[in-house]
Amino acid sequence: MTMKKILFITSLYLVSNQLFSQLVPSEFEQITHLVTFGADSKPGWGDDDHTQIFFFIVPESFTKPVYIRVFDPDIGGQYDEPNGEWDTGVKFSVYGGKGAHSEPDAKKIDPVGNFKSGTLLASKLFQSEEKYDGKWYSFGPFNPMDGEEFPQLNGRVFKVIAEGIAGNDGNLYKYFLSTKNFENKEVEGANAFTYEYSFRLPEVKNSVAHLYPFIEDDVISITQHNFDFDFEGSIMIYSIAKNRHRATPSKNREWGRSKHPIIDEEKNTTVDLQIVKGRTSRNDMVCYVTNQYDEAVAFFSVPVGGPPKFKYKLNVRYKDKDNGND
Amino acid sequence: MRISILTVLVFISFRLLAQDFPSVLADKECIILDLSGSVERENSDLIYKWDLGDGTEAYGITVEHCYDSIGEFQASLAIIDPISSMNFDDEYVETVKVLPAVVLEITQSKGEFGQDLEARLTGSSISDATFYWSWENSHESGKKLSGIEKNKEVRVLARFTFQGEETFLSKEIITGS
Repeated sequence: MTMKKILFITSLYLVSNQLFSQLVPSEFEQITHLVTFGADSKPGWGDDDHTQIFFFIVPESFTKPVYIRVFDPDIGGQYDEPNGEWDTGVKFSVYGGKGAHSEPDAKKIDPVGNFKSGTLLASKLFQSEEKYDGKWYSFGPFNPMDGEEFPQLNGRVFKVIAEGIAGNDGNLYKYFLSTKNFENKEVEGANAFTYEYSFRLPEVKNSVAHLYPFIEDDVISITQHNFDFDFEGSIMIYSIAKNRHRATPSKNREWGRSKHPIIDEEKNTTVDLQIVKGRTSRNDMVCYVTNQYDEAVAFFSVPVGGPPKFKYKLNVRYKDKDNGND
Repeated sequence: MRISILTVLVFISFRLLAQDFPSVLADKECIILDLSGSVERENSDLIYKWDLGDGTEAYGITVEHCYDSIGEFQASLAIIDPISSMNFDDEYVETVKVLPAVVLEITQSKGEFGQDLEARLTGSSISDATFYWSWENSHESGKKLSGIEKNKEVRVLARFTFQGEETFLSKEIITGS
């Protein structure tokens, strides 16, 4: 990656993240919770691989300790998705150091190979435990220097892997990158991203969930992949040049895919993958986006450069009232 | 130039004198809003709905509408997804200006024998303008009217050719007001 490109992405990143917190899912996304099901659950519950990998970026300029907090990490009680008795364990692990993100396997869609790359900094297995139900659990403190250097985004990266170890229930949870152990206090300029998103959609009809992949300047097409949407509504691609282009939604337990060209105007911008609910229901699903090289494109919790706004091309003409001439 | 009522009647009937006409003629009150440059195959099945700012709505990638009055109107676009029935409101707002093409005005001044009035048409593509004045039981033609008492209701009817067609505008005032 050239220095010019690094600087460009960094400047966009800094502009977009100055005011917003690091709650994941963010307010921009309008997503209820992240979801990871136990290893024994069937794909029809909405999780294809029982693993979710998120990366947190701490700005290079931030030197105080940080905490990665998990809301409702247990599997039971409130929020979570039961499938029979609560018998599920989900392990959260935090990685930093060299290779945490730069290792190619860490950026792949499926949890295969060396995806647990980097240095393990903390780990904990959660099961059905009332003391964590509906509460925040903090990993850390972590020295930002323990994150992997990521010059493109002018920061350091920590990786969090949520693995469904056993059982068949669904763990619904949220993250927050915080400067405090016992409260959510944002790290100014931080962000989070993932290459595959497993989440619960908002329940109500007509709600719109947003995912924000950032399109780098070498991308000429993207393919969106979505799993187990159950044909519950519409999936649309929205950007400065695409006004809700139809994307292919998925059926129950299946993947839906559609390829969409990227034009020059859309390079170095964020695209908004909009998932529109057509009925009220509980629905967990998975999404990822790949480029023309079949490489995964990162979804940012806080859209880089801000949410896109389509540029309408409206032609206004006056018309003769009587004879119909323009 | 003062002419007799008989002469006036040669040019124009009582029906026209009494008929109500606007004092302003709108030219470009009909518009076409064309979104086709923003629509591709992948989003052509969305429903494009315009609130045209005067209480009317129109649907389509290209819509046509004629406004009934002069002014500025905020035309707002909403998009509806027919699959989910989701409304995306206020997607785009366009200010539409309906401007007057011809305006009939009357100016008053205090003359030696009462109020002096002058009618004037402003706008382009106007030719062959004639003005007919009426007040109480009197009628007169000409651009100017002189020596009218105060507090008289005076009406002027303008007949002219606009863009090749015979056109009428009218206006009323109270003298001295």
